[in-house]
Amino acid sequence: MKSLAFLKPALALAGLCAIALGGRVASSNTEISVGGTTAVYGQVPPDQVEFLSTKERILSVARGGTPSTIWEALEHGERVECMECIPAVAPLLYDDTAETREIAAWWLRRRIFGVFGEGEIYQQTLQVLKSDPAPKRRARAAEALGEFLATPGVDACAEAIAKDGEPLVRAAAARALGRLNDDGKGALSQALVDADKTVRLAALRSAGRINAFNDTTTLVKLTADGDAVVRKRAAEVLGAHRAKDAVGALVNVAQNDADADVRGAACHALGALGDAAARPALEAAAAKDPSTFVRDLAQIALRRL
Amino acid sequence: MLKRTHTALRFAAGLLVPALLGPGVLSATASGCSAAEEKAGDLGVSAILFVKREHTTQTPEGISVNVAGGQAQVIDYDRYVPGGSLNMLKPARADGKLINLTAEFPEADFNGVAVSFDGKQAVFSMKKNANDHYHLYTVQLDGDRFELHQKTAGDQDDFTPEYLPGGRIVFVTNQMYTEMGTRADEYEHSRSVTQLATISVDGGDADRRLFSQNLSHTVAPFVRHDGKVGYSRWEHVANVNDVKLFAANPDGTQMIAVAGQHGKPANSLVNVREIEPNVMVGIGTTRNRTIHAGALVRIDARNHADPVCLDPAADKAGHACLDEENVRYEILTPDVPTGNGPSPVGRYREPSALPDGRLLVSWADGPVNDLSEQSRTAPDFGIYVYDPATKKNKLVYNDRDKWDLGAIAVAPRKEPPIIGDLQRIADPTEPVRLGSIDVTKTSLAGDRVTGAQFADTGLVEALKSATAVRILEGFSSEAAKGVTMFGLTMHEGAAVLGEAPVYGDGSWLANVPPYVPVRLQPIDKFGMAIRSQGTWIQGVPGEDRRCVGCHEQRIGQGTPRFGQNPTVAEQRQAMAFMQPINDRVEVPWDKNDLGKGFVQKLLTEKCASCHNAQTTSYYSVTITDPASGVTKPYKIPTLDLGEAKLVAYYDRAAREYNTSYVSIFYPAALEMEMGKATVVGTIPPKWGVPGSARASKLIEKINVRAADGSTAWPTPMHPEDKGEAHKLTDEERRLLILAMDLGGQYFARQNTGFQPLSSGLASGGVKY
Repeated sequence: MKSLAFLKPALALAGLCAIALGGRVASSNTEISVGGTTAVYGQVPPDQVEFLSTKERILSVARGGTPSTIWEALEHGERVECMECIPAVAPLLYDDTAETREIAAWWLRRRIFGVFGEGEIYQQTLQVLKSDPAPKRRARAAEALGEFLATPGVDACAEAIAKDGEPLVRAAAARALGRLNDDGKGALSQALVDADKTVRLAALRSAGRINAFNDTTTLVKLTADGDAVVRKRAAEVLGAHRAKDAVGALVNVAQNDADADVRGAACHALGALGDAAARPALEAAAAKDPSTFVRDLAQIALRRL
Repeated sequence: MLKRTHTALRFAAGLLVPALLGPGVLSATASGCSAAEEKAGDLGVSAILFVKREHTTQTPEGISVNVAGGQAQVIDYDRYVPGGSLNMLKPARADGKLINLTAEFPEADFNGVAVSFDGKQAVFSMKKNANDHYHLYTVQLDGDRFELHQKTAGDQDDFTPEYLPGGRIVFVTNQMYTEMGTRADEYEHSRSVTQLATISVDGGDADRRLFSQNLSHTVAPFVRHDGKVGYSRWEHVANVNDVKLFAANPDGTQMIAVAGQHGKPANSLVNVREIEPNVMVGIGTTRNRTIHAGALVRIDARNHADPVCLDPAADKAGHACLDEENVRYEILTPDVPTGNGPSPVGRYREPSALPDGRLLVSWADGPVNDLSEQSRTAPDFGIYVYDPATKKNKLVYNDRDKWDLGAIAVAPRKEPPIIGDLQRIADPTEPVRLGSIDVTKTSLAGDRVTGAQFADTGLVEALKSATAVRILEGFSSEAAKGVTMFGLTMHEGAAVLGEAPVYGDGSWLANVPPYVPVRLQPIDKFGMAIRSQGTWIQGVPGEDRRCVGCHEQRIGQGTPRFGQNPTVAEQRQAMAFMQPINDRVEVPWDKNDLGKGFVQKLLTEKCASCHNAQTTSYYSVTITDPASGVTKPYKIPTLDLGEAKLVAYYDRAAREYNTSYVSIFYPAALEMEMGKATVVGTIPPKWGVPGSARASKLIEKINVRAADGSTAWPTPMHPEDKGEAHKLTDEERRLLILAMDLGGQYFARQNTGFQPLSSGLASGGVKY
C-alpha cells in the first residue's frame, strides 16, 4: 500500500472554508506549499527514507559524471523538476553505457514538461529511429522507446524490425518490444526469423517476456536454426511457455543436436512440458549422453514426467 | 572478443602500485588504519570455498571496468563479466593451495556458493558464458575429483544458493510464474524482480518450488537455527525504500518479519548469516552504489524478556524467542560508512562464521564507489578473517585482479530441524488460506480510528465492529500498458479478491490465489475499511496463513475470544476467492473491456445532472517549475461529476482524466507530493481520500445505510434528500466506497488492455 494523504500545515494556514463540508481557501495569487517531501516523509523513519538529488547534481553529472554518479543522481532525482536538465540528460539516451541510457530514459519519461510534447524528446527519439543515418543512434533510439513505455513506441519498433537495414537496429527494436510487453502485431515473430542471429536472439529474449506472445510455431522452427545459441534459447523459451506441440521437435533436438548446451536445454524443456512421449528420448539421454550436464538435466526431466 | 585484462594494465594506470607486491601483503584494523603485515593463521577448518569474480575487460574499444553494473543495480544479480571461478583454499591458511574447481569454464561468472551441512558438497551459481543464464550446480568435495552436476536450467537466472535441512537448496530467481508475467516496476527499471525458490539436492528443478511474489526484489537467503529461510526483502511502499529481514519456511510458507521493521542502523540489511539463534551478522549499507558492501553489523533479534531465549544451548520449545519489534544492533566496524559515501577504510561483504566465532569476510581496502571506475581500478575485494574481539582483519587470500567473494568454511555444521513441507505441489490452482482467530487481537491498541460512527475510537474497540475482511490484490504498473502511475494516487493497482465475513468470535477464513501480494481491510457494516494493512502478505499453494488477529503481539499468546476450537469460521468453511483476473472486482474509473460497472457510468447516470460544468465553481492551481519558471495553470472544478476529459497535473505528469475524477481526488492530491503551487480560489473538501472511504467527504455526503437501518453519519442520505426522483442503490454506494478504499485509482487492469501471461503458468495446474 502506498501512503495516504498527509495534512500539510501550510494548508491549515490557508484557512478552513465555510462551505458546507469544510473546504479551504487560498488567498488570491498566494503561493502555498501543498504537500511535498516534508509532509510525506514526516512519518517515515529516517533509516527508511530515500535521499533526494538536486537540479545542480543532475546537471553536473549529466555533463560529465561517471556512470554510477549519473545513475544515482537521476534515480534520486525522480522528483526534481528541472527544465534545463532535460537537454542535458537527453544526450545520455545515446551514451555508450547501457545502464546510463536506461536511467536517462527512466528519468525523462517521468517529466511533465519538455519530453512528450510536440517536437520534444519523445518525438525526436521516434524521428531518430526512423531516419538517423547512424545505425548506432537508431538502435539506441529504439532502446529508449522501449524504456519510455509509451505505446507509440510499439509501432515505431515494429516498423524498424520490418524495414531497417541494420541488424543492430532491428535487434534493439526487438528488445524494446519486450520492454513494452507487446509483440508489435506480429513484428516479434518477424524478428524471430530475421536473417541475422543477433536479431533472432533479441527476439527470443523478448518472446520469453511478452505476456501475450504465443507464436510457438515460429519458436519450434528455431530449434533447427543454424546457430547453436539460437537453438538453445528457443528450447528454453518453449519450455517456459509450456508449448505442448513442441515435444516432437524438442525430442529430436535432445537426441541429435551436436551441441551439448542445446541438448541440455531441450531435455530441460521436455521436463517442463511433462509429456510422457518424451520418456524414451530422456532415458537415452540420461544414460548415454556424453555430457554430464545433459545427463543431469535428462534425469531431472524424467522426474518431472 | 572480450579479453581479460591483467595487472600490468592497472600498473599502467599508475594507481595500483601495491598490486605488484603480490597478494596478501596488507592487513588492517576495522578503523581503517593500516597495520603491520599480518596473515591469518590456521582457520580451524580443512578448507574454504570462495568465488572469484572478474570486473575488468579489454575490448577493441578499450578497457572496461564494470563496477557500475553492480553498483547501479539496486540488486546486483546480472553483472556478468567473464573470467570468474570457484575456488578452494586448502588447507585454510594464507599459504594454502588454491584449487580452481571450474577451470573448464574460462568465460564463466559466479554468484554465490554454499557448503552442505556435512561439508561434503557445495552448491554454486554459474553463468558459463554470455549466452547462458545463471544456474545452480553442485560440486562434490569429498574426494579429489570435484565432480560437477547441474541442478537448474531454463529461461531464467538462479543465484545465491544456500543449503536447507532435509536436502533442499534455497536460492534467488528472476523466473516469471504468475499471470502478471514479469514484475519489473518503475524502480526495478528493466530488470525482473527477484524472488526465492527451492529445489532438492537430488531432484534439482524436478522439485522446484516458488515462494510468493513481492512487488520488489527478495535476495540473499540464509538458513536459520529453526530450519526457516531468512532473507532480505526490498520494501518499496510509497516513500519507504529500504531492505529488511524476513523469514519463511523452506517451502515458502509462513513468512514472518525478523529485523528492520522497527528501526535499523542502515537503510539496508543484506548478506546476513545467523551465528546463534536469532542473532545474526550481516552488512549494513544503502541499497545502491555499494555492491552490497558496507559495515559489519551484529543483529540481535532475541526476545530479551525471556532468559531461555538468551541461552544459545537452551531448548527453546514453547518460547517465542524472535522479537522483531525490539531488535538490537551493533555496528562491528564503526568507521565503515553505512551509506554510500566515501569509505577510505574500505567496505565489507558477505560475512560467514568460523567455528571459533571469528568471521570470514570479503573486504576491499579502499573506496567502493565510482572513483574506482573513474580510475579504471575496481575495488579490490579479498578474503580476510575479521575478529570481533580485536576488530582486526587478517589476510587469508587476495587475487588483486579479481573480486574474491562469498568465502565459506568447508566443515560440517549442525543441521537445523526439518520443517514439514506444506507446499506439496506447486499448483497455482491450490489456494492460500488466510484468516484470523480473532480480528480484535492487535498490538496496535494505541491506534485510533475516526470517521463515520467512530469518534476517535480505539482500534480494538473499532475492530469489534468488523463485519468482514476485504482482501485486496496488489499489482504494479507494468500490468497496464502506458501507465506508470494509477492516477491521482500513490496507491498501487488494486483488485478485490473478496470479502470474508467476520463471525461472532472475531474469526474469518478465506481461500485466495497463491503467489500474489495481498493486503487486508477489516470493514464495518457499512462496507467501509476500519483500517488498511500497510504491507503486502503472500502465500504459496496450499499454505495456511491464519493469524491470531490483526497485527497480534509476536511474543504473546493468542487465544480464541470464546475459547473454542475450532473457530466459527473454521466450522463454516473458508470463503472461496479464487476467481481469475477478469472476474475480480476492480474499480476502473472509466470504461473497461468487460462491460461491467465502472464509476463514471454511475456518476453520469445518477449524479452529473446536478453536479456538472454548469453548476460547479472552479479553483485554479498553477504549477511553477522552480528551475525554469515555466508555469502551467489548471482549472479544477469544485464538483463536476461529468465525464468530459480534463488535463490535470500530478506526480510530475500532466494527464487527461475524467472531470469527475479530478474533481473528487484533486483536493487530496494537492497534499501528496505536488510540491509548490499557486492556488487561487476555494479548495473544496477532500471528496475522495485514496485508501479511505471513511475520510472521504463524498461518502460522508451521500451517507451509507447498513442492513440494520442505521446510517454511518447522522446526516440525510444524498441524493435521496433531493426528492423521490433521486436515488442511489446500496450497490452503487458500495462502488463509490470501493473506489475510495481501494486507493482512488483511475486505471485498473480491466481498462488498460492487460493480457495475462499467455503460457498460463498460473492457471493450468502446472507442476513446476
